[in-house]
Amino acid sequence: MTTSNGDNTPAPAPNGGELAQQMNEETKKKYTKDRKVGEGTYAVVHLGHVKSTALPVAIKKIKLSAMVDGISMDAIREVKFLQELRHENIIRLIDVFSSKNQNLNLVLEFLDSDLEMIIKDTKIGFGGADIKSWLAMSLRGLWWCHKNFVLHRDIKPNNLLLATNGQLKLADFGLARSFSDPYRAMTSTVITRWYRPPELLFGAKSYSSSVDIFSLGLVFAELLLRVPFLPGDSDVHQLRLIATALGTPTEQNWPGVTKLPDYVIPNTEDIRPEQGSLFYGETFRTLTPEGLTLLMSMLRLDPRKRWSAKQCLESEWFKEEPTPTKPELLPRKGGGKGIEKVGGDLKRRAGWDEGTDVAELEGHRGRKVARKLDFGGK
Amino acid sequence: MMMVSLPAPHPLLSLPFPPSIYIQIRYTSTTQILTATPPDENCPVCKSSRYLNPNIRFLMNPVCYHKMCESCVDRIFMQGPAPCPVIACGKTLRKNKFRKQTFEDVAVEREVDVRKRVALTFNKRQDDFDNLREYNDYLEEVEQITFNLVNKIDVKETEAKLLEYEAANKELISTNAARQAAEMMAFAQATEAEKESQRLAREMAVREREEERREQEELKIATLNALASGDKGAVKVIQEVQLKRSGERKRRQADEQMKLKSLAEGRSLLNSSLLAGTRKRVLEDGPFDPLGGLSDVNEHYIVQDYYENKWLENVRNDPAAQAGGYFVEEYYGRSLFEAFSGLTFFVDEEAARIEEEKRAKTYTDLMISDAVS
Amino acid sequence: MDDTIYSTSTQHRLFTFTPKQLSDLRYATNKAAIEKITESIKRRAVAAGIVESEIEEIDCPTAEEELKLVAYYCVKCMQLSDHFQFPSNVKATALTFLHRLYLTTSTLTLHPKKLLLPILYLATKTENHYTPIKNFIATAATAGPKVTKEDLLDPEFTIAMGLRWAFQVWHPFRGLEGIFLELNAIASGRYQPPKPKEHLVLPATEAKVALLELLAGDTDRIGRAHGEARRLLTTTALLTDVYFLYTPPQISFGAFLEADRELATFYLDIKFPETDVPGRKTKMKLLDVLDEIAKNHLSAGLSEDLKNPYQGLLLQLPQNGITTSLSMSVDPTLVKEVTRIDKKLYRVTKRDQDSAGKKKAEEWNGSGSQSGTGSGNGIGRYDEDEERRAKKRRLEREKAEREGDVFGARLPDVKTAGAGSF
Repeated sequence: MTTSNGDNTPAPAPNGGELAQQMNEETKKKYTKDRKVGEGTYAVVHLGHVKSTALPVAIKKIKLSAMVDGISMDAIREVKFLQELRHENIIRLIDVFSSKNQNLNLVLEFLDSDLEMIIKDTKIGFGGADIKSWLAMSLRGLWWCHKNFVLHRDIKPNNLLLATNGQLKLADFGLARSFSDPYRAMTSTVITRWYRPPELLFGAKSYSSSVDIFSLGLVFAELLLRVPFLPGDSDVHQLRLIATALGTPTEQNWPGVTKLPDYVIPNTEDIRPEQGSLFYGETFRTLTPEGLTLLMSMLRLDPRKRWSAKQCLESEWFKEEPTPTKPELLPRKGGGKGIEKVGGDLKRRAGWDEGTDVAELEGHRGRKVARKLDFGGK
Repeated sequence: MMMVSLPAPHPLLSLPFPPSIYIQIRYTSTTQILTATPPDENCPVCKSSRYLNPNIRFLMNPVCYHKMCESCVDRIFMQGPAPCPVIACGKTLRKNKFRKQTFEDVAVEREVDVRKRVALTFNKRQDDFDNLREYNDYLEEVEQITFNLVNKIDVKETEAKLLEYEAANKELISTNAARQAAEMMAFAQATEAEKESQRLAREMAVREREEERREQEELKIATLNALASGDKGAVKVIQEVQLKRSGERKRRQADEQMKLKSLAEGRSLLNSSLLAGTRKRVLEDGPFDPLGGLSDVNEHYIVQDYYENKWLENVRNDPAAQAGGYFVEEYYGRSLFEAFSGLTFFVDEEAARIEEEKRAKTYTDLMISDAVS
Repeated sequence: MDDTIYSTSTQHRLFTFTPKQLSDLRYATNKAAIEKITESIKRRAVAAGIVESEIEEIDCPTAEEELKLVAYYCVKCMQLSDHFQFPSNVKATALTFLHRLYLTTSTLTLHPKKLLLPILYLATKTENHYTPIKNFIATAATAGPKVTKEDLLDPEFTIAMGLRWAFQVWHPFRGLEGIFLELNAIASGRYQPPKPKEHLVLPATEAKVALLELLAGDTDRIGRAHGEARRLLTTTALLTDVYFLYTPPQISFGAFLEADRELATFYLDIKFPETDVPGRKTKMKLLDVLDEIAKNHLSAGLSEDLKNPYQGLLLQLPQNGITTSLSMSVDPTLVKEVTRIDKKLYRVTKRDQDSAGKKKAEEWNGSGSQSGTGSGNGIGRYDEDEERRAKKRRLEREKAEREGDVFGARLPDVKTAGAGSF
């Protein structure tokens, strides 16, 4: 709003304090911290509430003094994108303020569980209608990101947080970046390995929104199987799993793949064609044909053939019976344990729980440079 | 459809009636009106009486609803399942199934147990139905089943019907159960919160009164001293101070009350949002809307498949970029989007509109959280 | 719906103003800073024993002078960015940051000279144009200023806070590209109008004919217009207040209008056809706004002598004596003026320091101010606390001595317990 007080036309300073400082103080005063729910070297997460309305919030305090090169890239990214994106299915950054000792405080909406918790909790049962509902909400959040030309680049179940009213929210934009500009090299070591699409494993430096779709497709599969679908323990292993489960990438099913920087030639006897509905039908027995089509289209090897978020949402599967569960009726797990878990999620640095080389992330070559594998022929 | 594993039912859910009734029953049961212990009770098995054993306690088993004293239960079933000692019965009973009788009349106890069981399965509520007629039909059906089970009519068929219904509505049953649990939690929290705020208010009132009294005392002493020393000016000053102080105090009290009230309101907002999660929102009924109510139509442009542009030629022909999934179409889209998004957004008109809104000042709860940012 | 996305952006919510609001904000910032520094200087003087009425006049820069100074350093920043050969989005973001920062921060608190390189470095980060800090420092050295890592990183926090942590800046460059994608499509007869307006617009073939007629054989005209508009956006626009007063697409179209009015009008007529009656009011308003941008802000013919359309408002206009182009910035009178203001600034901030050159006690969070002792993480505040406590103890002691009681001062009442230390 251009004229609301407190935004950009503050009341005149009462005693000559710097305007910027003053606005910061005013913002800080709106919130109180209640208790700590997560702590790490990168950030501390407190549960708190808005003083005037008692609305619960999570206050993530990022310790900038721990940073080596000034404000770190993922703090910048997170603040930058969350400030601009406003959508029901994206975590809401309510406010930002700084405190003494160079700390950045993000006031986020309060969420007390995530999809990973629900999947892993054997006491919680959920069915097709629930999966539809979660997938639809994730797709909507993703669609909005892409509409704003932002790639999330870290889609996985514990970055899909759940609110008390059942709404699913995309969180953790520490690896996000804007896309679509040509001739801008992008890093390929993003997205947690188990959810990383093949083009990134092959070192592509120019990619697009389809990377997020692939990750979400794997989350979809995980919801159906209740275990991670492709848990590789190295990049090579991950590629092998993809080849086994989804098909080996070749020039036939993916024109141009051999030109990717880290493309690996498979052994000729291991070449499997890209899987079709038969395979999917056998692995995911509970899906209807429309559902199988959707899953397949999200997991196509060639990123150009994958569906966009909008196309996914327009799939017939969502309109079939059973219709998606209303968010407020979805199975939940909240309360104390949930809050602690989400506190733990929020305090992590983007992509760090995997030993990702942050230096590589920040753009320069780190220790873990992807090696070209030599299978004996080329 | 996938097999769904139901979560363990909430302990409070093993009640056939809504919680509010039990709150009343709980109070009355402490006065022992409902516990079945008439003073001259005899155990039908060992014939010992309360007169001889004042601490005698009676248990019954829901299989056959026969009652016996605790020592009999221990004695007969200590080593495992055994037939019921009542001669006509003989049904095999287990020790752990024995429990205290809640109602004096065994028949009532039986019926209550049947209702509980049925209610676990048939837990639909009024707002699950489109109209009252359907809800009543459903209730009638449930009653019919209960009646049959209680009076042992067509037991086999009725049981089958129960199982059938359960299988068909598994998901709805579990969601309703979850809703009930959430409602009870919200209710408990709300009462807690209310008690809290009442307690705080009372404490505050007490404190205020104390302070007031103390101040009065002080002022009286001061006034007396001033009078004694003959300083009229001092008396006036003291009185003025008194007035000012009481005025300030009243203002402070009003402030505190406002704060408490807004806190309470905030909490009730929170509660209603928690509960809103459990209430079914009829408005969302209708076919699935892919974009969730938002639209994707561009008023000013279409993104074509191809635009001539020398600068982009290189990336269009770069196989590595293509293979990586880079779409130059996305660049077209973004350029056009940025060319038109906000084009007809006029800053001065917007500023004027905001002034209008400020003067109107209507708050929805969305704006409350927005006003924070 | 597209406008919804724009209206939730921080650029709109936090940094878009009407001319009056912008002007008021600048005056308010200047006033607040002057009050603060005047009070501080007076306090120091009194503590040093000078009677208040005899304190030398405190001559602070006015809001107008401050703006001239900032504008001048913006040009310097632009030149630095060109030296680094950063892409236009990095340059534009750095300049926007500089403009935005000085809306709520005064030059009395932070001198722009020390912030040019830190802001440029921050812009490379927010625009994802990774530059290793060593390389950055090396390139900076070849342009003149020798700068250390601390110089670059220490002010970052203050800058970010002044920017209210809103790092996403929407530039008009891509929008301009979009406009020309469509214009070239019209020229080749392949333009497709949007669905809602299909029936209102000229069919593609006719549109092509009309355009070619306009061009009258001058096929390079589109390219030239494109180039000129882009030049305006990467230079002039960044030295004016257009980012604060208008939306990015309006700026793109405004630049186009200024570069080639006829061509731009033609394009606008295609996008907003006369046949679309309900949209006419919007179109008229839009044309007014674009005209404003072109004439009042981007026109090459702007100079001090022209009438000031925003009379009395503190905006970046040559009519206010503020440089809005690279060529203007080397004008000797302007340079002299800026030097004078700089000296004034230096004099007044110097007075607000201890004679030992220590940072003023109120300084907070390491900003690159005149005294230049890099990281000031609350050190000043700690000193002040200590000083206060020491002074208190001293006063207590003196009082006790004055009482003259051999057994120490009279025991304090219960009520005043705590005044002394145990």
